[in-house]
Amino acid sequence: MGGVLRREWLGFLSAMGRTGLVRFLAIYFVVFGLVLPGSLGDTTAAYVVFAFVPLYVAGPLAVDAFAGERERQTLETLLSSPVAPGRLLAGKALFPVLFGLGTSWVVMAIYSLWSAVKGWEMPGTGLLLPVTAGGLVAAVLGSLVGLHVSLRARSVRSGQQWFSIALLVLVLGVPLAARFLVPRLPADVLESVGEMFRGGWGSPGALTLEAGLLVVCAGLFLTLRTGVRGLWRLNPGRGSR
Amino acid sequence: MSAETPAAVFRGVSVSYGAVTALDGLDLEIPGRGVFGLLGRNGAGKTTAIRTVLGLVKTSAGCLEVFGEDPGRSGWNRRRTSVLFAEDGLVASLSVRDNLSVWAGLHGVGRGEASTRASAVLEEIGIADSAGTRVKDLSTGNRRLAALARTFLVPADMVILDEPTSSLDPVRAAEVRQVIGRLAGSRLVLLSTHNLPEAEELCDRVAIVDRGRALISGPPGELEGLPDRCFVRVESGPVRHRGEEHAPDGEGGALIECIGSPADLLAELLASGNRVVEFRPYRKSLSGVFLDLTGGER
Repeated sequence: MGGVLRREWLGFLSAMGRTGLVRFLAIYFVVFGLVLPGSLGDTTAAYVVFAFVPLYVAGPLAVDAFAGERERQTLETLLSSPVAPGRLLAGKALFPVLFGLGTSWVVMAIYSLWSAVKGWEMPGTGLLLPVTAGGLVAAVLGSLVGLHVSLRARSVRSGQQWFSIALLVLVLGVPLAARFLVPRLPADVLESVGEMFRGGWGSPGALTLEAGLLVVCAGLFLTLRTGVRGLWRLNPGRGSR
Repeated sequence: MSAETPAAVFRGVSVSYGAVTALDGLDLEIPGRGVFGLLGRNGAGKTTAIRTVLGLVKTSAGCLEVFGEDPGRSGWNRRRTSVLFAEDGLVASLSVRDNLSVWAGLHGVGRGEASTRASAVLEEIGIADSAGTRVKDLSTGNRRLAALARTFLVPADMVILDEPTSSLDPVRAAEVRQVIGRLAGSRLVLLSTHNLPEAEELCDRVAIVDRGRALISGPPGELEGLPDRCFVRVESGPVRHRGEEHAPDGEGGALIECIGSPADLLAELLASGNRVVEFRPYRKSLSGVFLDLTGGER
């Protein structure tokens, strides 16, 4: 798996470049660290937003995992290497998770420093833990959904489009479903999620969200395993014999 | 592995892509050493045969053993094979050295050892100067050489090369052939090509594949002698043989089928009243054998 992770990291870094990476982080900091929290007018809500950053970072990276390899005509060579299907999947899934979490933490750290400079109210440790855990779940979810899309997409472009639709369903569908199950939750989506986190780990809203996400992640992972194994048995390259 | 023990044995292997049959009961033995050429037209089934050896496609019938194991079963040891497909499979944004290092990592070779091997193989191939260059910035020829370096980097028992010189100019193609000849060493190289002079230059044995079946297999020199015919030129007029008249071609003679030995044919011709002025066994080139067997026109 280490070999796959290293390949992913080097490939990403070389495609993006160091300057590109700095620009990428800067954009995320401005959007998620300044503009969005600033418009919310609430530092606690700002930290809840950080839990969502990995979803937006990990997903598109995961979409590239197989669709990109197919498009760049490197998938068949990769599959001919000695990497076992499980390790290939783990490496492909873990890289977006780690990068998504890393991005979230870097942006959160910069925002915290910025808040300290500005003298804004800092969140307590009681919020940081759920935000971190939420970020991990978001990263895993983004990565798994992205990989699902990637396995089936004909190109990275169509994959990104399908991922956007999947993201919309996730971001709107999951909180709305939670609200349906727990009717006392407020109508606003972001507030709903914030409310779930504010209630602590054991609150009905948080439990609903946690259980729902756990079931979704487990289902996604199990179906992905079958899908990735199928890469070796799909008789690829239909046009060429 | 000894040269006598086959590295791969196909017995009636069939593979289909939907309604299209790519391999149709392929029977073939690939020896343990040397350069083995898989020859065939586009769409003959060469690449599918390679994918089957690598366990990348599902067989619908037959039995395949590679190094005594079924490559289709999960957990098959792919460390014994290293492949260069028609597409080079390199990560374009990475440097040549990083591509080699990453490939070695996937094969379980440590970074230190990978670096040493990469330097050696790049030196051997003659592109050590391009080690730090991104693959996308390389010329087509150097990119192909970099892909060859990647393929030969790992200590695989079987190196598979699918159309390694396609898309190269003749000078670069000759360079690549030289490199293949040098690097093959004691390993088995499975070379898929429709470039027949390339096969004649590099291969110890070849198999001609058409419509998913192996038509003939053996050393190129032995295949070239089949089927036997003799070139006959007579003083004037057509060549008369077994009641038929064969008009002279552009060279002033005719090709007569030689069922027995050439000496028997000459005796028959003389007995038929031909005044023979030139007689020589006609050794068909590998291209001739290939075209005859695969239904092409000369």
